Amino acid sequence: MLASGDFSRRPGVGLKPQHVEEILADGKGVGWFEVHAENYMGAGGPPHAWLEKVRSCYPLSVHGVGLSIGGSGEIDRAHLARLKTVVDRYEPGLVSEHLAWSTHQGRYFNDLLAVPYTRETLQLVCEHVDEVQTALGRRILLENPATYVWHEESVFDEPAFIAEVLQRAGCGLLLDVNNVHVACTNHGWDSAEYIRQLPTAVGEVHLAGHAEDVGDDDRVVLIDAHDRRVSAEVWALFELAIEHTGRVPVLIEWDNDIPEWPVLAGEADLAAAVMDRSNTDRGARHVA
Amino acid sequence: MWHDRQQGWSDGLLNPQVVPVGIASDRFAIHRNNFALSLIELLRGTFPVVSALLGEDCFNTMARQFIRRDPPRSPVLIEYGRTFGRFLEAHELSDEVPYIADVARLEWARHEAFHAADTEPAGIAALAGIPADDLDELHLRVHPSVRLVYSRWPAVSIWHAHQEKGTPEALANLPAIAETALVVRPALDVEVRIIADQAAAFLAAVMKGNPLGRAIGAAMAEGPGDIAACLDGAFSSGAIAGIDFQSHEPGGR
Repeated sequence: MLASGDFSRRPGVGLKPQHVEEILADGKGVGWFEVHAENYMGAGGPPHAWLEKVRSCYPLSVHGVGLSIGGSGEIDRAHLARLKTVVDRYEPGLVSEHLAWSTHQGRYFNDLLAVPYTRETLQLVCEHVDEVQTALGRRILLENPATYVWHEESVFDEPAFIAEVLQRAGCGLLLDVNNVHVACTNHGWDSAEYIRQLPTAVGEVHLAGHAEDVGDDDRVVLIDAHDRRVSAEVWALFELAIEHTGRVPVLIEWDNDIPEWPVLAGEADLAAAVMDRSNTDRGARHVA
Repeated sequence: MWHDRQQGWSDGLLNPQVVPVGIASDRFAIHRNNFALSLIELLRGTFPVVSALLGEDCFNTMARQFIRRDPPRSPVLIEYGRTFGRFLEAHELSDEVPYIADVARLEWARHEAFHAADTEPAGIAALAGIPADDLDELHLRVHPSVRLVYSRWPAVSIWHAHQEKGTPEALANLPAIAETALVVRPALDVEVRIIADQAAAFLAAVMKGNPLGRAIGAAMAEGPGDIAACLDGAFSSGAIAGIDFQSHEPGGR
């Protein structure tokens, strides 16, 4: 039995093994869950047992981190087949991957690395997205990256590159608002302008916490750490983002220094409050 | 070309002396850290007792060396760490802590059992009603989670002492004996038990694809013992998933 459901009604959170028992006892109003596909590529055991249970009660999103869509090499067919197995088994309502690379010449770097935005990589990314969508038999969402390094050979700015990919490859956008804030801070871009430049065809929004560091030039560098609450700056940008996109599925990610279940569910409540407020404002304007 | 630029990044991630051309070294260091630290924590999650035995700093050093020597080759990190035991065995650290590689192998066996395919174990009643003449040629099908870990040291007792109900003080009084662990996950919990040489020889023979008669022969070659108890133990531990009358591929490891 799979739960069907509306991803946009209430925010979701990233599913963590240590929360499963509590979630099944009291979901605290969280609307849906997202898992990293790679964590469910084992043959069996407790991970599948708990995901089956959660899936029977909640809508699910499968988020891949290992396809290396921005890599210069071919998509790893074996890995794509594994992703298809997970997708076929759990029938998620949303499937997403990253505008990034993580594998080169058979080495996997367990990180989401920056892609240059050139004609060559545009072609490459579109071909890879197309291959993934064809293999899965469905549309995927592609997530904007949190980057620390800008490739000087780039000829597109990031929102323009993303818009081109969406249009040519026919995939949707997973708008990670924290990644926008991190990238814009690290590269000195205007985050509000970045959001305004993006296509409105957003299929999902991510929110997460980031860490702060200081670089050799004494400038602040933000790290996409997913290890704390969403920052005030990211909440403000989120308000702006949903003005831009309308009501879409929103997810809280928290992958390191994972808190108690009520703390994580509380972050989803905060997101819900922002969404409801924004919706009310919109409604009021439409009436006027 | 993007491929060549990517090669530069790849080299820089694997070798701390290399920074890709035109990239600020402090920014590139963020990726180098993400790569190393995320995998060190992943390995600590898979090898918690090795980490406890070595201490955090020493474990981090070992893990860092291992990651450089043998970086992941797949985005499925469930598979990463298979060779950590072999790496520790070859490391000079094993001169001082000779059992550390065996503890690592035991923790890896537990990790594999955790993720192994789900199958209902069979009870010894599966043998009921089979004519005695056919028993010798019968094949026991090993549960996919089964692993045998041999140690020349009391590595299994050392591991047990670090579990919730274990007492690290017990480590002071361990006899220096060899031990064999049977690792199996009959349902959702991974079980680790020390088994006798005879039971180990029996299961090892079954896992190699030998028919029951030959597996019993292998057990008896270990010396006198209760063969019925050996067979009963294999079933009651959940290590047997079924019986076949035809030969099959060796199962488990």
